[in-house]
Amino acid sequence: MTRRARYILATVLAAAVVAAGVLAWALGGRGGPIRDATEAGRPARIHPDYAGVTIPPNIAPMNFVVDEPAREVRARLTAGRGGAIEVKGRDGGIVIPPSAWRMMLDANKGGELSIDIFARGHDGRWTHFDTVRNLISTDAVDDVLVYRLLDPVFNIWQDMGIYQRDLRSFDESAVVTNRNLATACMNCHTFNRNSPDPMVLHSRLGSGQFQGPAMILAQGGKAAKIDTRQGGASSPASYIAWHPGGRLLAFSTNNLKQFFHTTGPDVREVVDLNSDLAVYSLDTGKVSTTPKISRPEALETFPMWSPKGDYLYFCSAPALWWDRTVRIPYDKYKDVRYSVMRIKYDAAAYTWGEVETVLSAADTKLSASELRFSPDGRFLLMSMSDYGSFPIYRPGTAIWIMDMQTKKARPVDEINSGRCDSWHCWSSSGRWVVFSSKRDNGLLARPYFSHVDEKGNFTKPFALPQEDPRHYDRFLLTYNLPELVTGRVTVGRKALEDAINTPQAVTGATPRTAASGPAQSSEGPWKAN
Amino acid sequence: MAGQIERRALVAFRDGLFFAAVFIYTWLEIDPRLLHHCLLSQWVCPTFSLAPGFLGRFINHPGGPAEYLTALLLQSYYLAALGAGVITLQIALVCLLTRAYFKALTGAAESVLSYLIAMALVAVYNDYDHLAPTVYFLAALAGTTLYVKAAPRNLLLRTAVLLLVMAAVWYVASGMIVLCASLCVVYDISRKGRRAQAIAGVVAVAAVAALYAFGAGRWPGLAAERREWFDFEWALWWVLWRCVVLFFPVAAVVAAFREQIGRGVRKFLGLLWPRLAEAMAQRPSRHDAGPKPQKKPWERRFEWVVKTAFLMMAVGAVFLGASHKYGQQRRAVQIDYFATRGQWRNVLAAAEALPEGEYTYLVAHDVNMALARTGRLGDDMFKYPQKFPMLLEYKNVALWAHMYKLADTFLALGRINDAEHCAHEALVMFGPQPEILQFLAFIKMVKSQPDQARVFLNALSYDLVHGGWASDRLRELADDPSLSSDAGVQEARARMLRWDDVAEVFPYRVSVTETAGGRQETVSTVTSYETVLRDVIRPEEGAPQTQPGEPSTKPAAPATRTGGSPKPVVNRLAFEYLMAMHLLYWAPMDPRNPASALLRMEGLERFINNIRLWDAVGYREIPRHYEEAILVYEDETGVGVDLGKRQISPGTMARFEKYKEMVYRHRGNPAAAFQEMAASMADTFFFYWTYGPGVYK
Repeated sequence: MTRRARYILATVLAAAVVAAGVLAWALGGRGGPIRDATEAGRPARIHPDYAGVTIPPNIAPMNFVVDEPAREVRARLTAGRGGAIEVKGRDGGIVIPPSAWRMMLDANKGGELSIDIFARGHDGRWTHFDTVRNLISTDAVDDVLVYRLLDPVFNIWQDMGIYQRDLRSFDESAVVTNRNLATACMNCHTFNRNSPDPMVLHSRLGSGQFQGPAMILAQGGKAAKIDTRQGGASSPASYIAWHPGGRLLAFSTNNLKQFFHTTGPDVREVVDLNSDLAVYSLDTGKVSTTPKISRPEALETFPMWSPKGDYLYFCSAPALWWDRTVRIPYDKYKDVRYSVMRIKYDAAAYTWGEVETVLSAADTKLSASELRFSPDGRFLLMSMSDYGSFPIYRPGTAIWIMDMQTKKARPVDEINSGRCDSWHCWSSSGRWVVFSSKRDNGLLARPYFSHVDEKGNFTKPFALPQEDPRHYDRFLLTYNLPELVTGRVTVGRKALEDAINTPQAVTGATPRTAASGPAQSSEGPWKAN
Repeated sequence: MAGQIERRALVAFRDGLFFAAVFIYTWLEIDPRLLHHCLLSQWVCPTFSLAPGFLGRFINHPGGPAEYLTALLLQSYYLAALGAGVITLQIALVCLLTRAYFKALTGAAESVLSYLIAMALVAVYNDYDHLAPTVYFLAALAGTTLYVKAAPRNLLLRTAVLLLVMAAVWYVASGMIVLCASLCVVYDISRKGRRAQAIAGVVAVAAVAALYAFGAGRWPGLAAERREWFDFEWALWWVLWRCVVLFFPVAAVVAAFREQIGRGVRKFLGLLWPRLAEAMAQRPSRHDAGPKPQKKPWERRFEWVVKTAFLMMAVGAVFLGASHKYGQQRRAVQIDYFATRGQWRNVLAAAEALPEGEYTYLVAHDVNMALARTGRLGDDMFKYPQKFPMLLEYKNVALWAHMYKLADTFLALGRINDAEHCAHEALVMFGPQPEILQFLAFIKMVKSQPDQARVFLNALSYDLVHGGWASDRLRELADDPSLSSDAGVQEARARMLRWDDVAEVFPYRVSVTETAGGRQETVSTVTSYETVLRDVIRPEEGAPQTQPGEPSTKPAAPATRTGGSPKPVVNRLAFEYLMAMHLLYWAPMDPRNPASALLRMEGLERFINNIRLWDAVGYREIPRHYEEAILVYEDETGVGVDLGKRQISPGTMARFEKYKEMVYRHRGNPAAAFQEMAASMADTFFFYWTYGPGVYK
């Protein structure tokens, strides 16, 4: 055999080996037909729990793990139109091909998605479990979810970042992380009516030279640092809410103190020693407040504008201690419960009305926080804890809904888990809600989605799908503050990093952009009275 | 032919001897377990995981593959012998590739060079604070060898191969591309007819180096690389490692151009010392001397024996030097390693060999914990230098890096939430290291939070070494979520603090200062370590009564059994730590200040007040230091202490009489008193009471 012939033979052999490998992989991913499966007479144990849920038609493949003792597992996905998707499990994990999934959902909006799960036991026999039936909604969810990923932090934090995830796929990218920011802390990313632009977030001290606490405003691809410690606000902005007009930001200033219980199931506890509300105008660059929302005898926090912008809603509780700066009131902090309040705001005259009680803590015997209106203003979602204003650390925190037509509030039992459920966000259509839930383990929060109909009925929630079906089993970071937005956040990481690092906070008016919304007077957005 | 075979056999035998010495030194002296312990606890290297996606974090950036492989190889360090084998194998590969390169360059294997490099690498492994990037080094040498051995002669093809090799080395080992490119360029320059390509290579090397050196500001991704390779840090390890890397291009240049360099040196010397240059010129060169006469077999063997003996002596000298240089660091690391694994007798053995001046806060903590765990704290604590507080300080920022140690101490004391808090801090600081995950899982199991325990066990189940343990615990949790039959969990539950004493542990103090502007109040918080310990001595009893004269804000909470322990528990560790804390309280006697006498007695008063608890602890005999403290107390106050049925031992009585006699005899001559007491009583409370904390004993 000549040298040339040997080369050709070697090449052919190599190609044959590769082709055989590809064929084996392709066949292995689907498996052959299953005959004579015995009925288990019960549903299969799977996680995440994707059984009996309503899903958006634009969600990424909902990969899951079959927790049944088996040598092999398979899943067959079927819907009314189109062919079935057959998936052979790898180590119990069912990974659905994205393109087939996409086609199936597109073709069956409003229809049922069935999942048949088969497991082959160690005796070689197949078992079929009860069919999982899910509903494919006609309502799409917003394309992007923005959240903060961080460790379950006590005192020290290291890596932290705000990320965005395309819900149609598994693409996740960082909006900003603290890797180049000397471990600065960043939180409370806030959007206006689910639009990715503009965005504000709060940054706190890292070891960088100029990283004072500040509000970072990202608009039109640019970012700027805004120091809100002016005009009666002595502390930096914490919880922020966009006025629907887009030129006004209500924010709270909080003196949060953390301490650690030396016994009991939960270690961390946060007390808000002092808090007030104020408003920042993008048109003037000024901060103003009124005594009605910054009363010395009360704690006011969690501002939220009504969708029309005519009311500022917030949470308020009487301050039960006199030292508002240093001392933690160990004997009183459990007695603080926040009510839902509102104050009229006249956008034309820039005047405030009187404070009214919307939902009294005396009635609920619970403490309200994290107010969020549905886009049509019909419903108000809030977190309810046994006390205090830091629901994420209260194990029994539940989501409540208030019908603004009937003024009746109720716990959303359809989605509450008994463990902490909080940080909820409506989609732009008002048909979906995402929230942070610690239902899986009580320690790490995961984003859960639920469909809401026009009457305020919620469906069983499901966890954000992940490419790796075991992602949540070993992922030790917590998903904080999930926010649905209609598109990708476009401001660059570098721009945000520069804004956080800059020693110079902007003063004066912030220029308008296309995303700013309708114009308002630049003389001053409101008058304190 | 036979001679060649014999030569090869002799070289192989010498190599065997050399690498056996490297292996033994690495195994027994360096101890890869200590390396692993230190590198992971300092987060120098990522913890390897079998989890899907872990590999993906490394293959998407230059240098990632080498980082991944390094993390994988580091797993072998769990077993000292296996780790030593892996390190020795890496060093042997470096030797082989060195010889291959220099053989291609000069025609000779240059085994001396390879031994030199190997010894330098062993020296690098002695430093427990730095990870030896041998994998990166190997990647660069492998790329170089591949190029010089396999590249075709054709200029275009050769350039293509060079580019491919460079790209591969850059991807695998990032900054090591500079070393690889330099060696390839030296090789090309030394070959005739490749000068143009070599010049292009020089430019390429300079460009890459400049990119790393000056481009870091423009491309943030390069910043870490630049810090790693170019920023100066005056540390022995840094210098040594750079010498290892730089040695190669320098040696290659010298080896390839030794004739030219020799001529240059002679010319240079001729300018300075013409006579010396003349004398050198008259010496016959190697080429003029003609072929060397064939050596007889016995001459060859004798030469081999001499060379091997020199080599082994050099090896011995290097190893001895490194051992001496890093010995103290090694003992401190050993103490930490053994303490982390609860090998308390080994902690004390390692501490015996540690010079007193090397006693740090952490070493002292480990030693005291080892004494307490072996039941010797009350008898032997003053055998060791005592110049630090008994408990690690909660809020000392300098101790953040040792949160795991704090967590372990709190768990032993029964302060489970404090342990959880510190372990979480450690998790944030050092990432999901197996020991931290294991610890957190245990804490959650003790707290009857099986779902949270599963979070950490699931993450741990992907660890190469601890994965089996985690899977077993997951199965146990599935069978019995309360883990009611687990003795370790039950024991920890029984020790748990039953009431929330955060307000008492961190009481507020208001200090008032009078200023020109009026009175100014400052509120601050201090940590009551006495409360930390006192509240866990008898967890079943509920909140204990406070000491006489102390304010109390604590409600007398009823004890609530949360763990269902079979009988009331007395936390002996907490009791002994509390007593030791009182014994360590020391204030100097100031004859001009009468209050100093009272201040000085404060610790002893508290010690005597707590003596009543020793019945519960179950001492059969009074620990030696307690006897000494009782005698000092009685002598200072004239008040007898009720010892119940117990008695001070005659030996302690005799020592106390001797102590008093010494003090009396040397009154007015403190130096003489110190000298005599240090010689005979340095390990007693009497000595500590007289001279206070220090390491001068």
